[in-house]
Parts: sequence; C-alpha cells; structure tokens
Amino acid sequence: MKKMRTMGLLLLAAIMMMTLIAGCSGETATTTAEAAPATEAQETEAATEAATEAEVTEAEETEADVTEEATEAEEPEAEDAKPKVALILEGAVSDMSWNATAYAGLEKIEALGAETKYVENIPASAGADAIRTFADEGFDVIFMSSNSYQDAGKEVAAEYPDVQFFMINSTVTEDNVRSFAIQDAEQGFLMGALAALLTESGTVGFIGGLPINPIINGGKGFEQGVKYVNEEVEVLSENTGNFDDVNAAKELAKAMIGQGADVLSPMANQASLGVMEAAEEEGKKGIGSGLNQETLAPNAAVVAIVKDTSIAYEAAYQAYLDQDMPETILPMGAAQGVVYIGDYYIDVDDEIKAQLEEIYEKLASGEITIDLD
Amino acid sequence: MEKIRVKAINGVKTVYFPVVAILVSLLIGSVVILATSQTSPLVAYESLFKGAFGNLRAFDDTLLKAIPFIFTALSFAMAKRCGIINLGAEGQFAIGALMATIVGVGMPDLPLVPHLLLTLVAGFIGGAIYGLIPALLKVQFGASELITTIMLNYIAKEIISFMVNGPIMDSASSLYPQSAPIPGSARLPAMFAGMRVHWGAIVALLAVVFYYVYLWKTKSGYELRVVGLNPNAGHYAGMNIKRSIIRSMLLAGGFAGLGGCIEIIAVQGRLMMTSFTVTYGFTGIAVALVGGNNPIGILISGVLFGGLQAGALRMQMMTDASSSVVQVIQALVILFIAGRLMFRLRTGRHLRQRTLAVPPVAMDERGEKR
Repeated sequence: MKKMRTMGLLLLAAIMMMTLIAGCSGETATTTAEAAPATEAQETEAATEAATEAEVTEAEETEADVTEEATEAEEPEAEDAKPKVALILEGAVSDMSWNATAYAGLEKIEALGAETKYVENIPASAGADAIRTFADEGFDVIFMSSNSYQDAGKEVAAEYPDVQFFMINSTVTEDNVRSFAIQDAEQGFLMGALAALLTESGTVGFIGGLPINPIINGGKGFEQGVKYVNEEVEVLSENTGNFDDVNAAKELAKAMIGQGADVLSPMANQASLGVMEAAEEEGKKGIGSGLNQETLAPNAAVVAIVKDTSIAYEAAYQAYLDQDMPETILPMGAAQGVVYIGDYYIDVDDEIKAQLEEIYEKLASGEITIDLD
Repeated sequence: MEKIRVKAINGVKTVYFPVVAILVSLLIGSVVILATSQTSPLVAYESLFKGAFGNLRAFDDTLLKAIPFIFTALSFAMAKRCGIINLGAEGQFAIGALMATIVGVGMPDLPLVPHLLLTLVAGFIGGAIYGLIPALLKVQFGASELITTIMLNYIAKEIISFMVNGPIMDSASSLYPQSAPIPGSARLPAMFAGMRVHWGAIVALLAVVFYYVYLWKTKSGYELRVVGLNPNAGHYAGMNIKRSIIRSMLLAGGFAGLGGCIEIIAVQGRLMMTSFTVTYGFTGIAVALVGGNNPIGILISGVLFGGLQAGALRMQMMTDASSSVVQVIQALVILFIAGRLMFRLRTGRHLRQRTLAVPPVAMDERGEKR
C-alpha cells in the first residue's frame, strides 16, 4: 500500500507538471505524457465517458445550441447574426422590483432584434466570473444590473475591449463602459411626498435594503419628499442590510408600525415584499416600489412609484445600436420616464393625486432638486 | 508483471467507489435537469464539461476554483485521520480570510515578500485558532465536534458580517459592506501572464505534500493516525490522545485558514459580505470523501470539483438548467460515498466481511479515555 502511495504521488507530480507545461506551450506536453502512461488507465474511464457525452450531444444538436466553435471556425460571423446581449442580475427576476424591471428591459432589447441571455442570483463576489463567461461566449453587450459589480466590471471590462459594457448606477466611464444613474432619489422623493400626504398618525417609514449609494440616495429623497409636503411629519428610515431577506424587512416594518408609522415605503428589491406584507397584516398603508407588489397587499398597497429601469436598458441598447453613446453618466429619472407614478390600487382622494402629480412634474422639469450631500 | 497487475487491480479498487458515486450522481442529476428545465441533460452536461475542461481558459478557471477546495479538503482529511469530523472548515476558511484581510490591508507599507508571507501566516494562524476552539472543547469537556464545528461556522459568518459592516469597512467605496482592497504587496500574482491560476496552486501542492509527509513520515503524524484508527490502541501504546486531537485540529484549521487567505489575496481582492457564497468548507468535505482522504485523491477530486464549480456557471448561463444542479450532484456524491456499501459488489466474501465489520466502526464516537 505504501509503495503504491509513493508511486501515485510521483504520478500525480507528473500530472501536475504536465498541466503546468501544457499551460505554457502545447508541444512539450507530449514528452511528459509518456512519462506517466499508467495514469491514463485510471483516467480513461472518466475521460471516455465525458468524450462520448460530448460527441453524442454535438451530433444531436445541429441547430439547437450556440456552438461558438462551429460558427467561429467555419463562417466567421457570416450570418452576421443578431447582436448578443447579456444581463447579470444580483437577485431573482421574480422580485417584482429592481431585477424584474431589468429583465423587462432585456425583453425589450430582445424585441429590438437581439439574442439575449441572463443570469440571476450572482453575488458581487461571483460577478467577475459571470462577466468573463459571457464575454468568452462572444456576447457583444453585457449589462450589469447593480453597482455591486462596479469593481469587478471595471477590472474585467479592460480585458475585453471589443465588448460593450453597461453598468447601472455605477460611476465608471471607460472606452467600452458606460454607466447610467437611475434617479433613486426621485423615486424616494415621490414616495416620501405621497407618504406625507397620506399619513394620519404623522409618522411614516422608509425601509431600504443593502446600504449602497442608490438606496441611501433613495432614503434621502424620501426624507426630503416628506419634508417638502409637511415639515411636521416624522420620518423613520432604516436599512435591513440585504435585498433578499423578506422576513427581516417584514420585522423592521412591523417595528416601525409599532413606533406609530402608518405609511411605509420599501426600496429593497425582493425584500420589499416583506414590507408590503407587514402593512397588509397590520392594516396600514404601503407604497409599492415596483409593479405587481399589490398582489401581496391588496388592501394596503396604495400605488407603486415605479422605477422602470427597463426604459433605461432599452435606451442604452438603442444608443449602442446607433453607435451614439454619450460620454457622461446618463441620468435616468422622472424626466426620462424611468420614474413614474403607477395606477392607484385603492381609492385615494383626488386632491392628493393632483398634488402628487404636480410634484412629479416639478421633479421632471427640474423645478425640484434633491440635495444628496 | 504480476506485481504491476496487482497494483492495477488495487488501483481500480481504490477508484471504484468514487467513480461509481460520481456516475450515479450525474445520472440522478440528469433526472433533476429533466424535471426542472427544458434542456436535455446531455446538452447541459456538455455545457458543464466545456466550461470546466473545454479549452485552456476553462481549464485555467477549473484549476483556479480547485485551489480553495483542496485546502478545505485537506482540513477535513487531516482531522478525519485523527478520528475527528471537522465540519468547520467553512468557518476556519472565513476566519483565515478575515485575518489575511486585516494584515493585508492594515500594513500597506511593507515590502512585497515579508508582507505576503506575513499575510499567509496570518491566514494560517487565524484558521488554526478557530480550529483549536472545538478541539479544546472536545478534549476538556467532551463536546462533540460535530456540533461545535457547525455552530462555529455561523459565528464566523456573523463575525465577517460585523467586520465588513464596521471595523474594516472601506468607507471610500459607496458604503458597500466590504473591506478596502488588498494592496499589491500582499497579493498573490498569477503564475502565467494571461492566465488566472495563481501561485496559490503551488502553496496548495506544498500543503498536500506536507499532509503526506507529516502523516506518513513523522512520529507525531503516525500517532495521529493511530489515534484516528483506534484511540484505545493509541492510549494503550502510551500515546497522548488529547495532544493528537489538538494537533490535528490546529493543522486542519490552519489548512482551511490558508485556503481562505489565498482566496482573498489571490482571487477576490477584498473581503465582502458575499465572499463565501460558494460553500468552500462543505465542498471540501465532498472533495476529501471522493479523494478518500488520500493526498493524491484529494488533488484529483479537488480538480474535479473545481471543474464542476467552473462549469456550473457556464451551464446556468448557456442553458436554462440551474447551477443548483451542481450542488445536487455534490450532495449526492457525499451521500453515495457515505453510504458506499450500497455499491459493494455482492460476492460472498464481501457479505461476510460486512457482517463482521460492524463493531470497530463505531469507535469514532467513543470517548478517547477508554
């Protein structure tokens, strides 16, 4: 047994050497391969299995899949096919919020004639891998849906000069990177204004997700929106620390209700749903941050102040098609139609509606500005 | 010739269980793919395979992903050789990463070599100390390491969360919960230009060699193995069982900590809330089990699991099969290796062995003083 182990160790050293040398140059690998013939016996089982698997699939799927090698080798972009657009998401597309509108944006891009792919639930630490995989697969445009990927995106974008990158809510601008700044503060401002108009108890609550700049700005906007309408209203503002813990958001919402808040507004992607649920259970009001959130809170949801990023995605892709990309960071807010007031779900006083509409127009025209310092 | 034949037969016997376990897991995984997606399992596995070994770039990625798994597998294996089930590689890995971040970010003015060495040592010590806790609890109070190591994983996770949200948070970067980037003097560089596999691969190889030499070529390593095989025999032979347990857990934690340290200073570049979304520690257990706690086995299965990890993302992105399928496969591999008797060829001899082999197996759980 011991002898076998030593021999195995030597063999392994040979394999490792082989892989290292193979990494440097293809030719030298053959000589070292002879030194370790016995390993082949052990490896063949797995190797042949994998090989046959690959062969079978390649034979089967002639038209089905992407098969880059085929297209690249035989007809280098002869089809001059559709541009390939990829989207990397931090959460799930089913969150009825940030990621859902991003996915809607991708669908709009697909309607413009692009081939699209997306990947969900990619944490910041895996962002670089996801970007590389898409870029290696020959995607032309890659959208990063969160500023969590800012570091990774900046680093990897430099490795792929031919790929166009778009980062949402980032501050990076490079030759092949464009960023657009969703005006979360404007969404927050409208939420705050409406909350102040609706409140009876004089206390309103804002629940953010991860304390990143967009959410922090949203919170600032909320506070200023409240004060714009009524200086007297008290604002409770907290962040749960992540975007997917629905229960944490729900608990926080209930705690705020316990402190007297009667209108709550979330800005926490998936976790927003917890806030709406809490409002529903406690008989309070909730201002949605995305479409469809009322399905969870039919009595509590007043309206959704929508931050429809899909418009931003579509605009960015159109700019890419037109090869007309602005050098600066693109703002995307009320003026661009990204932030807007959705349909009211419950009966709301017409006067309140009119007041909110007026505030919205002032935001869009630039009459109201939000102080983010 | 006869000798070689015997060796070949032995070799086949050693790889029989892991290979069968992996094949069966892939088979069941394909059922999961069929049930949860529109993709044919063959297409999904092809995508997985291409993403792992399809070309140089993919293989590069596979090796990169294998490195942390090899460390956590060594962590599990080192403890297992002494009869300890270390389920805490996850936490030891995280604490190693944390210590490395603190030393890496905290002393930016040091020159490259001492800074790098200091960071690596910090990672090792961080993990070792975190491994020492369950060892002390076991030898002093008889607390089961199964419980304590698992629980310490959660504590480690909260420590990381606390640190990146407070003391070591990078205030320059948009208040995102992450540390400042590790400065260049503490970063492990890539081995070849244009490739991503870094010098941590060599550290991992050295760690494997150390594992082999220590356990099979030194006296204290021998004691450790004897205690693992039969504590009663070890005690009777005058070996200090407590010392062996503490040693094994120090080394086990150290290996995992070193892995965490290298993952941060070579790959991720900074410590984040989401740094440990890949379950390095638990995958390491699968790697160690498939590799039979054998140094070569760990290397090979480490590369295999690295490939699964590298290919999983591609599979998810290029087909609509979820990357969770890979986790299912990994879990099944653990299950099948733990329950390896179900694959045993039913010859008369094996059946007889099976009935005889029951009593000594329970030895692990008994107290070491008996």
